Amino acid sequence: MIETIFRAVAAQSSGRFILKSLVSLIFVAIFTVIQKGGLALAMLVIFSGVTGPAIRIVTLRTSGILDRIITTPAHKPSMFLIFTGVWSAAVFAALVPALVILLFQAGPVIMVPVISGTVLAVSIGTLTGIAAKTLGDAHLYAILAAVPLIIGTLLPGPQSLALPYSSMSLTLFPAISLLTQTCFLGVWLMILAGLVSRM
Amino acid sequence: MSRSLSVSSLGFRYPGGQGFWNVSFTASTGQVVCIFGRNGSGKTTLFRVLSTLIAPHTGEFLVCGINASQDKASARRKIFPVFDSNAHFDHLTGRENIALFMELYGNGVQESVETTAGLFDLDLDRKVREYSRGMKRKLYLAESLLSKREILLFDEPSLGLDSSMRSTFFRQAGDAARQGSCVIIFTNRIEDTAYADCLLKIEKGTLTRAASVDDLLEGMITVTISCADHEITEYISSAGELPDVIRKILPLGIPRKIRISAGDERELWSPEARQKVGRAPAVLRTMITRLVERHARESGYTRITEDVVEEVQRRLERR
Repeated sequence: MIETIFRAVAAQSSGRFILKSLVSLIFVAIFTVIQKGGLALAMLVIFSGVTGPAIRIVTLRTSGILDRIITTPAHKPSMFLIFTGVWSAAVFAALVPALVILLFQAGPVIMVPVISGTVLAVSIGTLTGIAAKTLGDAHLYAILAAVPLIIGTLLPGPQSLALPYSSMSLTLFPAISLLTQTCFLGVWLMILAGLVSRM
Repeated sequence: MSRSLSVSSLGFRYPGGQGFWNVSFTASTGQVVCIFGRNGSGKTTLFRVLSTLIAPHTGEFLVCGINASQDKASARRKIFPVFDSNAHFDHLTGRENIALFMELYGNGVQESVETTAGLFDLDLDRKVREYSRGMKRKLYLAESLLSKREILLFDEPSLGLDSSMRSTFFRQAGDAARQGSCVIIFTNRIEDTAYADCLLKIEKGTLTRAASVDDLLEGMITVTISCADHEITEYISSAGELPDVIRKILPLGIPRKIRISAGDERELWSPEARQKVGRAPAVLRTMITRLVERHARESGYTRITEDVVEEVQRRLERR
């Protein structure tokens, strides 16, 4: 059943998955040459994490599946967390070949911000998809959601403590920063799950 | 019989003023209730409210005694709605779709899956994207029957089904009602109402009880559209509604023949009128029949009674 749920929610064909992996690998490899591999990975996480689930939710809505799911007795916050989890796994898996390059550079600690950054981007993408009514809306909202994350990543400031993308970009991983990111993510997911329970 | 669904003063109005208002009715366990309405009568909006997808603006409805507005989660445990779109995960097989939705309904995989699939002539091991529209509909209907919910709601269940499959479905729905469900069918097809224990008519957002199928058909025009392998009959109140009907049929195939009449021959002619024309000499009978039908059409009659035949007779005599 877990495998069926994964395929139902993520709807990723193996061809698309391989293409994504290849593109991210090439993108990160090119930027690694100019010492910006972390930044490239952060951008990939933001874009694929926000747009993928947003578009998937709108596709589910336009096909009528979302209405079917909403009217089932299934616990809605759990459904939200399952959707976010599945999409996070799908996005993360496609980034693994690119991540391998940075693992050599930054060490295994980079996994913490990459995972929390993926989950954060996917949860924002899910929220974006719920708000959007059409695919056009989804693209627009996804860009609008991604822009603040990119600005927050590029600009130095206190926000970089909570944003995992800053850690990835700077390849700096102080313990306080990783702890803040994880706590922030936990609180954020709880708020979103609470909002979804009203559907 | 216990009351499964109790609707009182329910209302939902879209910003444009469409919707339904002051809708009240009850439906009991073991009943097949048919809510008949034309396109745009508020039928689907009522369906969406009763399926707990949208909240009503006024009134309330109780699902097995649970106020659905106050306790949506508990109400949803009692309902299985079949929407008019055949929504499935296209890249999964029929079997995987059934398993997934049954899991969402907390039913788990049942032994009766094969039996139900057999009844609907479904190949569950094919991906849903390879299914025809009718097959997807059958899969959805099979899921509803497997769900074993207390209330089964159907929005235009027979759309895309051939006549034999339609009767299979209605037989199964009747069986589900006898086994303890309450079946509520929203339709604009008069054929579907033949299977109902209770007929309700929704018109311009208002629900009324109908005594018979003739009550439902009052003032309606019958449109029969032939597509590739389907013949679909719809009922409209004016020719202006025809484009909507055609738009709805398009996914099933390009319409090849559209026949419009004020009912079929059986419904158009009253038995007395038919008898009266039958008394005419055999060589004139066909001509008189045509003259009477033309007169009825030109005068705007939806039913040919003895009086209409007499009118034509008087006209002919005057000439």
